[in-house]
Parts: sequence; C-alpha cells; structure tokens
Amino acid sequence: MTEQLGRPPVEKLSDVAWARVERNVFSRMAEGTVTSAAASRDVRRERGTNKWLWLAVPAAAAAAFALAFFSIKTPAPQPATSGSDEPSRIVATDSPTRVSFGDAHITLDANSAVVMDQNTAKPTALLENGAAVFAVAPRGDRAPFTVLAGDAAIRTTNGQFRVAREGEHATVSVDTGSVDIRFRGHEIHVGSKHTWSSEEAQQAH
Amino acid sequence: MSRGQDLALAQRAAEGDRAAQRELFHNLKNPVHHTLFRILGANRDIEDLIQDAFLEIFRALPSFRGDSSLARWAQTIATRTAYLAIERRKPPAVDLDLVEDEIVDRDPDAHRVAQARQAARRLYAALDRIDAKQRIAFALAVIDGLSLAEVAQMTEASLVAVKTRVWRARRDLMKRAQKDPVLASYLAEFGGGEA
Repeated sequence: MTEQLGRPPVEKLSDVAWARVERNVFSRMAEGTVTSAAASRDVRRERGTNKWLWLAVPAAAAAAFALAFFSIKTPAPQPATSGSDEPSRIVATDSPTRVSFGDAHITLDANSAVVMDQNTAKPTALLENGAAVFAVAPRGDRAPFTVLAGDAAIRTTNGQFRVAREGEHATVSVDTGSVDIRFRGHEIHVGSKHTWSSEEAQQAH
Repeated sequence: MSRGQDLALAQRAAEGDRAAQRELFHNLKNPVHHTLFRILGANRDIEDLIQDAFLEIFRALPSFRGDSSLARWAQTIATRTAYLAIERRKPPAVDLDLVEDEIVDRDPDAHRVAQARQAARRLYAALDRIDAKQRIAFALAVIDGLSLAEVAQMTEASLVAVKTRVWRARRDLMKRAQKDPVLASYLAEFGGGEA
C-alpha cells in the first residue's frame, strides 16, 4: 500500500436513523427515565429534612385539589390536532392514509411513513419512506412548512405538492403554488406543474 | 456558540424546557456520534449508544458548569458510554481482520475507498483486542487527532496516564501488525499522537 488512505471517515447516520434516535430519547425521558429536572428535584428533596414531611403531604394534596378545581373551571383550549410537542409518526400500511396537522393536510401513499414535528413554530415532516401529498394552506407570516426527504429540504408557504422518496433519492412534483428546495447547498425554486428530482440534480452538479 | 450561551441553554434544558432540550439534542448529536464512531469504528449498535449517551447527558445537565464547551462536555459523556459498551462486549469469536472485501470495481477512487475501509476494519479489529482505556486513548489521540490534553479531559484521566495508554496501545498494535502488512502500513500513516 503506497498511497495514503487517510483517517477512516465517520459514516453519517441517515435522517431516518436520527429521527428514530430523537424519538426514542424523548420518549424514554417522558416514560419516566429520571430527567435532569426531576433529578435535581430529587437531590433537593434528599437534602431537605423529614420534619417538613407532615406539612408537605397536606400541602401537596391541597395543591392537587386546587389544580383539579381550576382545570375544571377553566378548560385549556384544545388544539384541533395532537397538542403534544412530541414528534408523531404516521405509517400507512396497505392503503393510503390522510392526516391533518393544523392547516396542513397530508395524504400518505400505501406503505409510506412520515414523522411530524410541530414542536416549534416551524412544522416539519420527515418523509421516512414512500410518498405523500402535502397540501399547505397559506401560512402568512408564519414559518414555512418543511418536508425533509433524504438530503432535500422542501419548504413552502402555500401550495400542494407530492414528495416521493426512494432510499436517499427524492422527487418533488408541485401541483399548485410553489416550493423552495434546499439540496446539498443549492436552492431551487419549483413552480406549479413542475417536477424536481434529486437524482437529476445530482447528475447536473 | 459561546460558553455563556452553552450555559444558558443547558440551564433551560435542565429545568425541563422541551424546546431547549430539542435544541440541545440537535446541537450535540454530531459531536456525540463522532466520538462514539471514532472509538467504536462502526455504526453497529450506535443508535442505542447515542440514546444512552443523551439520557446521561440530560441527567447530568445540572452539573454542567461551563468549564468546557457543551459539545466537549457531551463528548466526555459519550466517551464514558463507549467505554461501558466496550467493557460489556464479549471478545470477538472470529478475527474480523481475516474477512476481506472483494474489490471488483475498476474505478481507482472506489478501489481506494474499499482499501481504506478494509484497513480501518483491520485497525478496529486489532483495537477490539486491546484494553478498553488504551483503545479509547489511541482512537481519540491517534485516529481522531485530538491533543493528549483534550483526550485527558474527555477520558477524565491525567496527561501521563493518557500518554502511557497511547504508547501501550501503539506497542500492542505494532506487535499484531507484524503479521499483517495492511495494518502495518496503515498504522505507519498515523505518525501523530506519539506519546
């Protein structure tokens, strides 16, 4: 071996793998694996003395009663869809599935999966596999709706488009409105009735 | 990100702010993965280890004081996670360095990539057979090219201990490479990190 081979490259994890890791980390935290906040509460509790316990129990009961009372009196407005900030994974098995997230409507092809994250003001859908049609109502001043598929990030503020993913390749067909696609450092604007494919973009670059 | 921003983000995440926790996850996922990959040499089982590392990171957040960057602090936890994983593993039943890729592609780049992959596999197969602490010190200092002081910080060991570990790891690997010219040639590339 005469030529230098260099450091072994760090092999990247796919978007799908990262989405899975993130989902598992946060669900394991939510399941009751001790969170840092809970841990610090535990430490503080351990540092406290037991003599306050007789006061703490009735106080906690009173607080719980008050919380229940005010919850009944002033119900929190319920969002139209899941209010959880956990990413939701929707899987269509052998027939198409329709789902709504706020004012975005998604029609998943059979055997497709999408992970929705509406934790922030930037709703994001990760198309894990298969294909889906996204219909996004005008978003006004709100952040664009983003779909991730392979290395492509497709953003729109108003439009209906179909994204198909096969492995790391993505194809975007815009039906109405327009989308902006970010792919490997390039920005591409795709208008109504036009199609973009990551495979062709790769060959062009 | 400055230390002050790191500290503020860590505090918000430690207090249970879910948006801060997500931001922290996204900021730290690459450094954590990088460290685990460098030590272990492959993405096999790495998803579970990343999860373990992050749960530990979130658990330990109240102890973050901003003495180092948040990324470096998280990498210290990832290093500990990798150490525990190596200790838990059974020694390999078959020498993976005996399994060779068949290089059929005529493209010189593809050939080089396959050669590099094969050499890296042999290197990590040899690392599988040495002491876990020596392996980690070698992987971080020699393969990843970190300074010995940085490795000392990440492994929570003294500088002298790290130097000794790297030196011993290199000695053991060179011994194994006597019968393996591919490994010997690859090791010769990593002249840096000499203790």
